[in-house]
Amino acid sequence: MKVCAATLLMLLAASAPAAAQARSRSVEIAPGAIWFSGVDLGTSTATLERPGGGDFDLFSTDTSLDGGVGAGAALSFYLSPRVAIEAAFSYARPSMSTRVSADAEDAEPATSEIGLQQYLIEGNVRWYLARARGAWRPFIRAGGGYLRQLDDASAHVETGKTLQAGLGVDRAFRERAGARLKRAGLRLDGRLLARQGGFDVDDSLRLGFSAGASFFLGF
Amino acid sequence: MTPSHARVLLIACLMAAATAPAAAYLKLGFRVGNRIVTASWSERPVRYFVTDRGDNGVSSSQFQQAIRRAFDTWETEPDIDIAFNFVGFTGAEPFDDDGMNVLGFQAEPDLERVLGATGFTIDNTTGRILESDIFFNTIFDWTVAANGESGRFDLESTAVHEIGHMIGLGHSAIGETELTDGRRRVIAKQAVMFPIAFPTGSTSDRRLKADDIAGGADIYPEGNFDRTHGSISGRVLLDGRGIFGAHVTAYNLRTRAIVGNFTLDDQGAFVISGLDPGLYVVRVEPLDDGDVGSFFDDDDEVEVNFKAMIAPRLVSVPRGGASGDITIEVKR
Repeated sequence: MKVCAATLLMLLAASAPAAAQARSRSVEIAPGAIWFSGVDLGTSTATLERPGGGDFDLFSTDTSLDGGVGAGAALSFYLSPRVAIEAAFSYARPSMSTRVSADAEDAEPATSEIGLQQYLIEGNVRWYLARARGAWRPFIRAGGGYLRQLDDASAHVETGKTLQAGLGVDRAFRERAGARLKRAGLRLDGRLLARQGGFDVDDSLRLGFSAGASFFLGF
Repeated sequence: MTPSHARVLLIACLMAAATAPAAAYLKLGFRVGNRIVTASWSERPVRYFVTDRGDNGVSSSQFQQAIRRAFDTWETEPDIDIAFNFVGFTGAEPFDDDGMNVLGFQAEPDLERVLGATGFTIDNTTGRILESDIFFNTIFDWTVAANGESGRFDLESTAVHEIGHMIGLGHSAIGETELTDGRRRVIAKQAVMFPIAFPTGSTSDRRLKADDIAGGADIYPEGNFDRTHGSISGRVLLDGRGIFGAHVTAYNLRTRAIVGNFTLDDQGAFVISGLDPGLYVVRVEPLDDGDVGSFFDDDDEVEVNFKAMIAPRLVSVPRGGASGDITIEVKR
């Protein structure tokens, strides 16, 4: 742990070239697309009570949130050439499905589905690990978020929270310190997304992945 | 009895063993012209008397205390706005048309499978319950022991069921049965209002289940219950036509609660109310393995010739609203 902390301090304290220095105190917007993996939401059993107190299984369910692609945007502010804080927003329309089986009255196994609207509002920090101009720059991104999901009729809302951490790279294809548009480039990232709440069958922590691609514009 | 009042006897009873299906809560009601009137108490607390004689090892005092606990079970349920008041002991009999609500033991040897029954005097224009009596059949052995007693039916459990009728609930069908020696035996259930009792020794029906609470709160919603709970409505079709008497249940994926109702007209329309907000699996099954008469007056109208099935859509129940109509097409 001490080694990691020391490494981070060294990275933050390292000097930056002029173009990189120009990022300090600058603002960046980055619209893009984001992919969410499917998430297993677990199983449950509909039960009745037996006379002796045990359970009688009426049917079983296995529920998952399907993966999908959404749109998003991030607004970043560089605290230093290597550290940026960002507020990110994404919107996706995943489906939730429940496989129902083992029915006590022999109903055929079936899958029930519903479409969801998913809003994710995040606060993240990005630490850049290298600063080579004109090359891909790797970064670590981590933060927390607020999850808001509605059914497809917008009748019912479930909220939750997220924690996310991952790695990414970006590359500026245009970088001019004196210009109004200081830089433009491409950013790619992947991360582990832990969520609790939202439409779910219980309050367990759920793990999934997401990956994003965005164009960034720095001012 | 006045011209505007109708005496409805033995409309609701608890069977020791009988034929029975699997479904959910049903409100007592009757048709007036083109509308269904639901039976309910308009004046509360509901005042009741207890007969001044015990039976079969249960004293009148023990009887009254068990009855009071059963009333308390309904009265203390936070979602149900109902209250009761014990007036005193009486020499009057249950089912006398005397304007008093009387609960007591009664010998009914002809009703050899009936543990207890509830009768009503109802204003048949408004649905207002004017009088309701409950008898407990002394041909059975009863107990008021705290943990029940082997070989005896638990009086408090049976009273909770009958009081459910007294406040206007019909039978629930959330349960499973099997036929043994010509009699249908309950294998499992998840509603006090299921028409067949658990065997002797069980005290499980002292506790209300989700389906019982939804039914009670549907008739007597407490405070903002209607704003914090929602409903599922829709139609069940067979060969493109609505069917009557299909049993529809809603299973909450988060709470695991099961609440249900029936399609109640020729259009196949159903409404399941009193649901916690959230996502539900909706399941339809025929009322085909039991005594349809435990639920409906006219057995002939009830469609039972179709297979149980799961609705293809998960249903989202909003807070204080309805899901929006869903249509479920079942097959033979």
